[in-house]
Amino acid sequence: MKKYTFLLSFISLAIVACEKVIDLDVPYEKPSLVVNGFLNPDSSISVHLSKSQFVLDNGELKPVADASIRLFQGEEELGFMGHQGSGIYRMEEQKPKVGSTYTLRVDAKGFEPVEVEERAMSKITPTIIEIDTIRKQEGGDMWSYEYLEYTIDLKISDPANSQNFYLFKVFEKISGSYQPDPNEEPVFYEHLSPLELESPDPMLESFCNFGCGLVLTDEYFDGKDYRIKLAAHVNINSGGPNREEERQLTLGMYHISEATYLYYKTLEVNRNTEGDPFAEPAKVFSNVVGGFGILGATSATFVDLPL
Amino acid sequence: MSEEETVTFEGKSETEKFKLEYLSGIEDFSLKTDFDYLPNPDHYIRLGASVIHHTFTPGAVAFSNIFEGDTTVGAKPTFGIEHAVYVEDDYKLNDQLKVNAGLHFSGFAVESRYYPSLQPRLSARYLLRPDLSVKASYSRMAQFIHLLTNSGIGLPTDLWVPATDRIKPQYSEQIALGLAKTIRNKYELSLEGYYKHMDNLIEYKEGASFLNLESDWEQKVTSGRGWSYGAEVFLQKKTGKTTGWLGYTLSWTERQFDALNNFGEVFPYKYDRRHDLSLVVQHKFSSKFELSGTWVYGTGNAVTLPTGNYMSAPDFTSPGQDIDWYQYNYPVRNYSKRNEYRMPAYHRLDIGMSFNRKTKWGKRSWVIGVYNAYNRQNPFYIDVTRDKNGHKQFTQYSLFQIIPSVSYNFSF
Repeated sequence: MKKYTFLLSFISLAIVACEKVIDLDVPYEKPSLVVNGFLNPDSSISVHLSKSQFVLDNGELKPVADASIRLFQGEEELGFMGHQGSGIYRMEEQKPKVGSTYTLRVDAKGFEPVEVEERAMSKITPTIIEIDTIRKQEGGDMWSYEYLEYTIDLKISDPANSQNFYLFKVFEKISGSYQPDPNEEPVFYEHLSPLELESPDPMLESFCNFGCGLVLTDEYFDGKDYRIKLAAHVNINSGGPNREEERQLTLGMYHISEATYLYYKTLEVNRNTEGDPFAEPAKVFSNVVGGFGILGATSATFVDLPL
Repeated sequence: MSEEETVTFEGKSETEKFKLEYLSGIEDFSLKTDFDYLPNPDHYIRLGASVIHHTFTPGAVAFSNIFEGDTTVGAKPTFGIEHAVYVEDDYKLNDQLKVNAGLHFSGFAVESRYYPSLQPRLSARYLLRPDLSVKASYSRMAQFIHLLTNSGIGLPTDLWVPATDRIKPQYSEQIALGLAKTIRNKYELSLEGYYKHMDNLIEYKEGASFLNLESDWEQKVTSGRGWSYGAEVFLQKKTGKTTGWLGYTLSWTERQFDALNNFGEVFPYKYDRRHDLSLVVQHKFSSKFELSGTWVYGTGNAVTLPTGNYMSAPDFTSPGQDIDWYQYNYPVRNYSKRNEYRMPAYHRLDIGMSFNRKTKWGKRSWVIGVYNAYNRQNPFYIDVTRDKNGHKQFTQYSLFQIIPSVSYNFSF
């Protein structure tokens, strides 16, 4: 046994646990202010304020409720944004004016001040040229699935001499009721969900945050009209027995700023790398100087589509 | 990776086996020929040619399931033919000056492209004194195979990938200047500085994952440039019972990619080894017994570290609905600048003992050694984990620790 003891000890030493908790020489990253908000001509200016945390800190991400946020339109100070609770700040009755630049200066105790600037976007209303629906069926003898291939042919007029980004989404709203028992009151429900969009146009790229839409930049048609074809699959099967449903399709077209586009594109990449030890780290874009987050600009037009 | 799971349904048990393999490789077949030509004592001409057939499989996943059989998906093999011809002349102009001038022509045919490259090489040595010389060199090079590395702290995934229709070969130019001195006919000391510039380098785009087979590796990379410069000191003893050498290099290797690191800021290459030290000592006790030791030290790899988390912006697109600031609110992970942090340094000591004996038919040696003699836990990768109290911490994983070795050699 003696002659084996040395050998076994030697082998054991070779394969002993290879994990080690280390103190990496990483400077502690102090919490910074995180500003998330949107300039939308249809709504009062509101932002959410929270704080970041160091990678090794535990606990939930918390809002910041005691900050002072000054709002400027150009050089003119409009006043302080009021705290509404849960880190939400709003300037009541102050809707952004299209084309104006707004600046937020945020100060909070214990944080470096941050500043963010963005310009409010104009509405771009698409012209619907044609809508086409083709009833299709997939499956075989055992099961089948019927749907509508819903094609929208539309045109947009691009403002000249500025970089523009257009986001397209189609939503399906299903509202209905069902009666689980004839003796009971009916149960009402309503769902709103984006449909997956496709387009034969290679200029449109996928934009997948909170459901997928398609985004287009005016790089190759600045100042001109541009025609786009979008397609979606619409389920036409009924919700089931004892159900009465109504469906409504809505096309949403959003004129978004470059910062909004960059933020959500990089956010999508950042999300996709979560839990993947092989993925390249992906930083999320921010237009907040000295902090994180996004003051985005978006202007939406909604068109109800016949179904 | 493999997994086994026993599933019980309605009293019946079945064992399901699942296996996943990531495959990556290069297969080469080559032919090579070299000639020496000495027309007179002042010229030593070398020339030759080679051709290599490469088969690259940069990434494929093979998975097998006991119920569904074996399936392989991923990158199709890429075939390439690389050829080269060269001629060089070691020319002794006079007792002080010796020049090596050469021309190397290589080409790489892959997919529908052919990449030719003419590469001049020139080096010169001038004897200032019998024991002191100065050296200079210039070379232009082409490399048809790229090393694709990842910059995160996770598992390293170095891949060798070829130039293709879309990915150009790497081209570089290097200059070097040095001094060499012989000390008491026992030691040689040299000091050399260099600068190298490289074009058409590739790196993974931010967010790309080598395990994601939905897109080809070519779609996951972006191209840029790099440069490297530094100085090396080298001291060697070739004679006597104790021989060996000591080398130290101080260097910088950087990259610049328009699509990376905040739209083009310069960042260090993953293998930017600021300090590189090697010490090799061999002592011949007798014709029968030798002892050797090697100690190496290198600055740790440059990696991109996660530094924090923060709240993401919500959905702004839902029609007719107010923004829900806390809907789908997953934290955004923030990172340092690309390759801003250094992993702990790499160092290890290897020791070897050689027992030699002459036999009737030749010579045999038993070599017994130990790699990593002081059991250094060199970092392989780092992860953020939780301790037993649930607190987050950085955990380093190492691969090989102390490794004994035994080998038997014979010559006749």
